[in-house]
Amino acid sequence: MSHIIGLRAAAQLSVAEVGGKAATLGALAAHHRVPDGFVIVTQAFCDHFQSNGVNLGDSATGEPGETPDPASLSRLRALRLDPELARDIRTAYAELPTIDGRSKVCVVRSSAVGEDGAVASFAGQHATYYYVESSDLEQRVVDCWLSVWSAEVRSYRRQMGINAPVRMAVIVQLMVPAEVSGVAFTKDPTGRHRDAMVIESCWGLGAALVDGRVTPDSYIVRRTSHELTTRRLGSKRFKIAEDLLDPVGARLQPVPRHLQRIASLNEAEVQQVAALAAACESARGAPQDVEWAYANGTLYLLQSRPISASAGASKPPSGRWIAFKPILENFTEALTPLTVDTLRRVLPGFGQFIDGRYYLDFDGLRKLVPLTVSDAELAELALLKSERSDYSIKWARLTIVVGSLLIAYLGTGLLWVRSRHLRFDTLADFRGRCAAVLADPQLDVVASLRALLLGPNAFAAASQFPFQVNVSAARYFFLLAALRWYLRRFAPSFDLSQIAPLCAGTHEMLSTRLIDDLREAALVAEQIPAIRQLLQSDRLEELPNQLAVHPAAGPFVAVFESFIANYGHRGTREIELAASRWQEDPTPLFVMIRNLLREGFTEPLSVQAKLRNTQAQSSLDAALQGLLKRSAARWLVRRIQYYAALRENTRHYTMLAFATVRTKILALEQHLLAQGLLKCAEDIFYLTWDEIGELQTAPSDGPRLQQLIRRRRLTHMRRNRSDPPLTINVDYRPPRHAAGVLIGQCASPGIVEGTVRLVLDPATDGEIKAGEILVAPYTDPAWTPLFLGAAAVVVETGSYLSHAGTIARELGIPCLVDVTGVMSVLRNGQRLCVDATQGRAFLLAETDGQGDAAL
Amino acid sequence: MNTLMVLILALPLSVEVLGALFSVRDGWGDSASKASALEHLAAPLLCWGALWWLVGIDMWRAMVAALVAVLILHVVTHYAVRLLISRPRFQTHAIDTDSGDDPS
Repeated sequence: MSHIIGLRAAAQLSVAEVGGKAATLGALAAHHRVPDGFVIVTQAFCDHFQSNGVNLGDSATGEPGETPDPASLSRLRALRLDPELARDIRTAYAELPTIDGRSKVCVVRSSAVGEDGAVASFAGQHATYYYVESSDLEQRVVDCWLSVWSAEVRSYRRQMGINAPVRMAVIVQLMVPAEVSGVAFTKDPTGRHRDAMVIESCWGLGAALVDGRVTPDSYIVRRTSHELTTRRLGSKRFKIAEDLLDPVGARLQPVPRHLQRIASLNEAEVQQVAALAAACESARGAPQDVEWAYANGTLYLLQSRPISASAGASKPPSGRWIAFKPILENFTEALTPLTVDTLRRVLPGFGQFIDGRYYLDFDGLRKLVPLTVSDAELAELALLKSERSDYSIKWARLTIVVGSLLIAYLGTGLLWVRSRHLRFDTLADFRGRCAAVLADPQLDVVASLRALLLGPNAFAAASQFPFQVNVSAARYFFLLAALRWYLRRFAPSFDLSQIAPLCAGTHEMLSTRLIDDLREAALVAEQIPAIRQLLQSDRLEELPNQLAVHPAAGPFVAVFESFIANYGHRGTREIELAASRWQEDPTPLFVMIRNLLREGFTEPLSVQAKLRNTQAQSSLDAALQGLLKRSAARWLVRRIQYYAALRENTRHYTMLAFATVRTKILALEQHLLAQGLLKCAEDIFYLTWDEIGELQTAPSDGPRLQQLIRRRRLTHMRRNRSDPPLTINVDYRPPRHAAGVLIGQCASPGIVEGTVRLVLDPATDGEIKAGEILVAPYTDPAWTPLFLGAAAVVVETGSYLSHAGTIARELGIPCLVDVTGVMSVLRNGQRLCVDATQGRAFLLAETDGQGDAAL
Repeated sequence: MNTLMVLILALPLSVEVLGALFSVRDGWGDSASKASALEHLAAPLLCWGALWWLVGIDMWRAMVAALVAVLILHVVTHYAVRLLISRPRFQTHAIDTDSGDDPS
């Protein structure tokens, strides 16, 4: 009897005969376009291995079979198929039609009993082979069978408590030459969006997506109407080639830059995919994870399985942990393993990295805080959410804490004193230090970062310690509290919301100078019609090459190169060593300049801020009586201005240290790619330093590490889909928003009404219309130009000291920070009233539906 | 007892004086920086001198000891931090709750 049946006929057989995946696909093929194929039933698996002496157990009694050892697996891999089965496979292959007249290239995938079931999906566990041609087909079938005994599957079965005997059918299916492909979840697997489907897409074959090699485009669609509500563009830097005849090994191709940042699906296609996914859910009776592909304009269904929990049951960390609020905005997205492994080696052990994010030891913190507080109160204090000031003090502990701080002051105070009156232009000397470290081949990456963050020697100039000076500059928070107290006490008529413009207005802050310099570049571009024209192009990534040969581009190129020389080491997510910098990819800057040209020019920021500052100063003078009192207030204001600028400027140079070590990592990556030890750019960021060492000393470990990279990429992508917990193992629940009201913290006061503009990444969403309210997950200097047109800023994470607040105060626009979940709650086009002074934002009636169309 | 009191007062003042002196050195290459740093050296130097004048010339050992102690503490802190951070035991740990593999 033949062990081969057509894919559609698989629906007529039981799961025990054809496995879960083939049974599902066979049933769906009756109603949807599924690529043609055939199934090698489970009996063929049993016959092959039992005839070669493998005990497969008994399906009837549930007695598990044996697990072959590695030597046996090598022997089994070398065995040939039964001649009759091999002949049937060749015949079935020959009978397959072609797609669009192309040559027949297949995908060989598992369909084990229990696979794609409601209990366990085995997603990504068993082997799948793409680009299989007739000559390799038989060997790939054997390899696919053998994957039931791989270390990953054994571990998965153990974790899921599956002890049944293994049985596997194999699906051989024509490959679709996909231009775009992806997955659709009929229910948001992260739970962030209720009543929503999530669709993810990338260029080429979906393997790039399911292997975690690309950050896909992501679309949130209403479950009922399939209306597109949110779209997030991913940076799709690579794709698996749709050209099925592309030579083996070169299939992972770079995506042309103009395609990296444009949507891979239009709205109609998103709705078509959503309808397909909904139909699959309806047919299967449970939320589904659907794989699909577009080839030549036709939508294909590749696979549908129930959405299951993550394969590896997470083991919760021991101990109690709390997010470190002042730097929380750096961890909106989880850091890659290499960044974590680099940072953890240069940071003292006050906290711990958990799943790519930094947490403080909650119990350690409790020992340091000299207050009688419950766990929830301590969490509120640490997360800067508490407005209480009536805690009872533990005096004995306060004495110990103050004494410890004094001793610490004796050891570190010299730098604190030196940073009190540091001239900002001397900080630029740090560039020389970075250049020296970069040129030193003796220093590896970790040693380089350590040398740059900790300084060269105890007697080096203060400019060589930007990181420590940055930490010390946070003292302006205490000076600000002192100023508030002083004004309440001695100037009760002074409007405290004027403190923000009063303390803004220093022209020496590099973050605001960055905007003015970018504005200068835009002004030059405006005067050259040819450049204005080039900036309107959809292919801005080609602009550097065009500028290099354009005869009229000289003045603009000169200004732009000067900008890159000063700020080129900056970019989004700067603490992440895998994130590219403006000097590597200046496209986001071109988008910002285009936005400036479109929205028109206002006065330079420094001029605007100075004007508001002068007005606030006049109010202060009017409210304070007496020269002494005025002088004291002015002294406090000057100090706050100085430390606010010092903090931003030292961050600028600390980020230069990060950019320097990134350059070293990229050089090492090139070396490993050239040696063939790494397969793909950016793979290096998913290994640790010990593993990179192993890769260099024992290249035979390569396949294991490639598996590890794949798993970590997927985990990293999954983590970034969900919000990180603020606390771990601590009994604390953050306050929830009432209907229509968002609660946050005031970072810059004011009340304003406007239209919501959600921006997830300034590199891809770099355009904002005047009067819109910028809503962002976090901000850093790469976001600063977007502040220019914004009526107000609302940020999901951050604190008074964070970048969003500092820049908003300089600009004099309202800013609300720490608005938990705002990116999920709001949609583009909604009207919002931001009352930053009260720490609230109110949702108003929606506009005429134009909102998300503007995405 | 007197010596101890002098030392306690002189230690933070020594931080200020030495910090201001270092600032002068930091700004030595630039005339504006140097002038500004020298200006800011005046107050701590005056306070340090005033303390010495108050406690009497005989207390010079305590005054100098405070300066030396601050300098030594500064050097020790700098190199101790470097030494400790290079030891895995004192570094930050990292855990991955999904994979069971531990980057640290």
